[in-house]
Amino acid sequence: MIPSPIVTGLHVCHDVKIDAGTTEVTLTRIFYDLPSPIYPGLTRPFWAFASMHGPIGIGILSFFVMTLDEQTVVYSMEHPIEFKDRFSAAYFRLKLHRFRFPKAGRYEIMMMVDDEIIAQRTFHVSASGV
Amino acid sequence: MSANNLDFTGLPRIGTPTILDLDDATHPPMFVAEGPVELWFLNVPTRHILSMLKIPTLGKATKDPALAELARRGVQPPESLR
Repeated sequence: MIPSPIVTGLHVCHDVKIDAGTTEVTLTRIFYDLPSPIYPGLTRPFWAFASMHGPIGIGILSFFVMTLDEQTVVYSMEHPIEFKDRFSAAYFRLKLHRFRFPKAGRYEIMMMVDDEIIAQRTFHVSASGV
Repeated sequence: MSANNLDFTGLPRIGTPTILDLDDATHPPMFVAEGPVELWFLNVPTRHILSMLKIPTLGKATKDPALAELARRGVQPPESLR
């Protein structure tokens, strides 16, 4: 996809609201450290959000969560994404509520469009509860 | 032409954002961490218990195309984060 999308924000947070009328976005409690039960415990629900713009057309968006030290992928998904025009934003919102972190430590989120890396973001998971 | 009198009518308008709203219920998590799960408090076959509880079990990491792409590009996490 040419040009590559420009990502103006990639965040993980505890809540995202997008106003149905105005499409204004409210991100609540953006975190860089997430206390969470470790596998097989489920983590508390959280969200990933990104805003991007730039190209025109349809591409394949890929989203990964991986451990930062071993680069082991613990979650991946892909989905078509449409950019209507070069000036309009495309919002990506993903709710993760069935997620189990295999261990405490540093994780990285990576987003790609058509095999082009467009955003990376790290956060830390600390063991909490079982 | 003063700054208060500029004509923007010829410029393209910025459209309403498109929203890609997804959920891991439709894109289930996978668990590919290496090594066995150590559940020391369970004196029974772990995999069997996890299967009964319908919890995904761990397996060997597979070669991922994104990681292959990263390796091809020589992209590494910032040194400060290692």
